[in-house]
Amino acid sequence: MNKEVPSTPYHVADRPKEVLKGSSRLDGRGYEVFRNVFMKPGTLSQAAGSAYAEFGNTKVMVGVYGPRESERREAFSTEGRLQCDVKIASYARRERKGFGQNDEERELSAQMQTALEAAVRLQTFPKANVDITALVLESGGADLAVCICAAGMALADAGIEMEDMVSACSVSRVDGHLLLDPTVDEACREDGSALLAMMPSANAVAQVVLRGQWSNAQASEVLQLCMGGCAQIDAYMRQCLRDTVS
Amino acid sequence: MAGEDMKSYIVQGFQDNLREDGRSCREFRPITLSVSGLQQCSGSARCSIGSTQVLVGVKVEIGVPLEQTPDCGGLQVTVECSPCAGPSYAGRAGEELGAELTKSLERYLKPGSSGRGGSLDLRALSIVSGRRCWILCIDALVLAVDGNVLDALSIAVKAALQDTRIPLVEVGVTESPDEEPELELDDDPAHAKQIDTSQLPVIMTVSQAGRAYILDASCQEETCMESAIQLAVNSSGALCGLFKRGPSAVNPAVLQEMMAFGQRQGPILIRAADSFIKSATNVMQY
Repeated sequence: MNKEVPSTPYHVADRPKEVLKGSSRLDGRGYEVFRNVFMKPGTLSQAAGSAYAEFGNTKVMVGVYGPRESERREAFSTEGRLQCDVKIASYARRERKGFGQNDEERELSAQMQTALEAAVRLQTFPKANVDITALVLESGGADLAVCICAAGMALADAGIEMEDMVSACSVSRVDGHLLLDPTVDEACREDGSALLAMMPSANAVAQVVLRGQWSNAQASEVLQLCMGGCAQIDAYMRQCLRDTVS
Repeated sequence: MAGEDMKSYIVQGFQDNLREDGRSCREFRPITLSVSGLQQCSGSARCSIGSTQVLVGVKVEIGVPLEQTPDCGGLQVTVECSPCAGPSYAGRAGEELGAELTKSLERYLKPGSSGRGGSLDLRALSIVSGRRCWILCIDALVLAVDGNVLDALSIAVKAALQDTRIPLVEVGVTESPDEEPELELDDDPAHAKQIDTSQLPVIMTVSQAGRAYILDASCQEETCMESAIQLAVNSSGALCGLFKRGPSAVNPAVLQEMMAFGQRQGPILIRAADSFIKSATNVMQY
């Protein structure tokens, strides 16, 4: 075994002191505007379905394998199982990530699983497993939301039956302003955050996480904003899939 | 495990505001709470809701603050499940539940990467900015599982932090700012400080099946629920965190109703817990 050598990390870029300039953000976006979004289904040849997603600097790829036999021995169930695994590349962040799955990855995997389980019709593949693996190549903020969007698209690409497409978005609250689709720098200044995964056509919430203190008015404002964001991403995802087919 | 018929019977009961053990949808099982039970801890509490039982101990240590938050103290949370807590908690399953509960507690207690947004004000734990601070270690043990473990944990954590005494430290004067500060601890318990827990929330898990929302689901009831939200609510009813669990998706309007329901019930529970800690009787009335 290699012993850890004590070291001081060298950071290529410093974090900005302020993330809001007047009424716009550092990258020139308005408060309720997404970064540049690019998504593409069918990027991995070996997977049953796959997708690549890019929201600004956040770059994620997702592969869906199955339905197939479970690798672990598991009890009989009349419903299928989803197995989500989110991995963050060791160079994805400002700080290098060590080897092996850490707590954060475990947490992201669990949250992605809750979001997708609500959508996938598990009864259509009893006893079998669908494995969903996501790799965060570059972490530029709102990682989990991007992973969920890409996974939703990959599931559709794999032809796995769902109640509806799943899309997700995050919001950070910085100095009282609600910033849609935050970058890492913005998330580092937040005093509250929200993540919402939606099935827009079915009008159902698949996953919601709020952190920090929220007044009732602001809580419903942030949920509205997220729902609008999810609907926008949903429309884009559907267009993407349609374009690929034709 | 309840069979399909039993499940639909239980869910039908919820719609009529009736539950197996005679409670209404919003009623908790009897809660007992006792504090200062552990000699080796700076603060401790034991909480049971029905036959769910948890034990929380808080220890304080002196450490070095994180680089990005030099003015804040540290916070470490661990939840362990006793292997005999339930039929399926030996080995891996217990570890996984423990890790999930740890995350759920951290989510509302700990601040984000900005050092803001957490329910505990960690700035009060600073001793010398950037050099020394108090680190709170909250260690919880789940002794028995019969549903609603997280709510029990959050009540016990709040009570244990209320019970925690942090010794007074005096910082010696150093000649240059680069020198390591010299700390002197005051052992007198009369001088020890308390942590401000007045704004610390508890978790209300609101479970939903059909059009009914229930609080404090038992183990059997938990298997019948469509979805559940874990709501962190403080004494004034303010929302301090929200997390959805459970396999099904929920309608946004229903979600908001569940949030409002939890926000109404949270402060009532906190008031009951507070007056209990003051009075030191054994069974908490809620």
